[in-house]
Amino acid sequence: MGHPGGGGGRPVISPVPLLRLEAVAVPFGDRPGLHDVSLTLAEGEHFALVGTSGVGKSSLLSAIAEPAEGVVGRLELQGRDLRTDTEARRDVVLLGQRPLLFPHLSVRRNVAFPLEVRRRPAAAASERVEELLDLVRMLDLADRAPDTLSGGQAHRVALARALAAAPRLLLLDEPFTGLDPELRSALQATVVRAATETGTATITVTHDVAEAARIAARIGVLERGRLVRVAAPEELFLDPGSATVADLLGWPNRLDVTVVDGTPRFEDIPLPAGPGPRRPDGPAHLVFPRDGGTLVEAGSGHLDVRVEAVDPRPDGADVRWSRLRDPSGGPESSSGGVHLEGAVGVDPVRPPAIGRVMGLRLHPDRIRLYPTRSEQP
Amino acid sequence: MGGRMGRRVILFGLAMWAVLPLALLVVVALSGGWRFPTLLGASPGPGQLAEVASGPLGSALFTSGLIALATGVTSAAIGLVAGRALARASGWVRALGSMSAFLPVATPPLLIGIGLQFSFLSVGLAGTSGGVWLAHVVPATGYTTLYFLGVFASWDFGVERAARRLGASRVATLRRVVLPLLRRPLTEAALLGFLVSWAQVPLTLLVGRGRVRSLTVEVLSLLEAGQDPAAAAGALLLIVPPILLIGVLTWGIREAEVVVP
Repeated sequence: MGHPGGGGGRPVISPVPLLRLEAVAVPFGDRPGLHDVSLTLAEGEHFALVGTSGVGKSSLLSAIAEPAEGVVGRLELQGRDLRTDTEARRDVVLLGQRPLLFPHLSVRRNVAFPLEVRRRPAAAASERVEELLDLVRMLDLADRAPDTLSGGQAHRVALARALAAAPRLLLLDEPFTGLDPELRSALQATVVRAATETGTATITVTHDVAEAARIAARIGVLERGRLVRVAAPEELFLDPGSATVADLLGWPNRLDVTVVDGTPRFEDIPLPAGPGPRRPDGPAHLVFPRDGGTLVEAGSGHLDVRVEAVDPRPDGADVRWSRLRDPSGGPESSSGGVHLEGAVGVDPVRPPAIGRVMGLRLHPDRIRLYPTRSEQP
Repeated sequence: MGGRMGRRVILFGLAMWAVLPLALLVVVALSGGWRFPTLLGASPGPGQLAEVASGPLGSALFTSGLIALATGVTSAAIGLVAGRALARASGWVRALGSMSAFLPVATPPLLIGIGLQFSFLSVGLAGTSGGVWLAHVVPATGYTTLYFLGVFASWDFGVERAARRLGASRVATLRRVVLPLLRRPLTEAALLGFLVSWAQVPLTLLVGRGRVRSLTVEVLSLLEAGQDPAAAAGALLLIVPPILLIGVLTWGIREAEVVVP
């Protein structure tokens, strides 16, 4: 897993925070939105914000870039209040999902715009524009009108324009959504490279946790209006911290179990509890990733499941399994359905037959158990 | 084939419908007079057109032009601000604002004129070019506000936000982004305001109180006095500036829409 900052390691993080958010609350119209969001970001740090749709990721970025009325809490950039200090706000640039190029200006003049409004000397500005156009590989199209560019090209120009503002903090609100994965990945790499070169810190909003892990040193998880977790990618992947975050990470298996005497039980079948201290008794979510379980012969004391489908993957194959819920008991699944479903990796060369009943053996080191109450806001 | 011929006849008929009155005006303007029952104008000669520059028509042309230009510019500026505010408003504010903008368009100018002349009399604006200009601005602004309401309904405010987020002040955003993008609508709105003022008769008569001699007022006076050739020349003059202006502005807009390199 590569991280920006050179040498595949973390960026050099200054002890002086660049951004400080303390107990920030952002209303969504007339209803409560984000609340009690606290976060510090170091100079040059690359941070990613993940969460489901509508959880408030974009609202948080907007609140940082342009704190509107109704936003409460402390928002500071290098100790300057972002709500009152317009100069501090000039050090923050938000790049949104639409490139929003100025249609009356050529590509070159679009990129020059932030430099012109800052009254930079013409020669230096011109040189910087050329550098940035080269960085995003748009030098050849510098004299074109924005309406003649493809979507990807327009996004590249928007990126160069954002970097021309030389912000201390660049906020990226899914700016490359809708582009093909290869181009999106290349643009993300360009952003990180350019931002690292200029010492610009970034906060990237994304739905894609894998993408977040590629570009950020830390990932923040927003859930129901709260920043519930901030962790390094590998830490997050090892221990999501809640079933919802595990779901966000793409862990496809979730069992609603009851912990009795420290042992999780599903329909009276004892299951491994996973690493860590003994869990308190009561309802809990048992979650695990694709490699957290193996299909074995049925009737061997494991959870018996039915093979529903075999889905090929670039790195192997998944078996989608299901299990009819025991109508006599057991907690209701979060979906309220009659099936439990999940997926585990299998050998793509010898996949099990569809419809076959097999035992699901859980790997104790890959499963995580979270009390159900941790899901409450 | 018959259908094609029929369409040609209809098109020719329509063209004649538009051109014939103008052709008659040209004939009358160039002749010394055209009295019943003669079929053609008598004693063709230089007519009134040559005398326009030095006569009352020249002065009226200047007055009309000045008032119409001022009206066009003023109503475009007010319409821009009002239309933008209305487009960003919602609910009853927008409904009420749109109705207010529609009111001067729907109200007969005679009614506006009668209303305005009393208030203008009290502040000394009645009978002045300034008063007539302000009176013309009322209906013209109604048109331009509704026009800009349409423009801003499809306006991408995100572009302005992008400029602000890139560090541009409000003034810089207006100067470098908004106004250049609005060059065409602004020009068209100014032209609309110009045309509303240019053809205005009742407001000019009522607020100008006969002392402000616009071209339309002058042409009416000439007609009343039976000076048909001079009236015809004046009527022709009424057509020329708008056509010239539309031509020049259309060319200007096309030139202005070239992307700044």
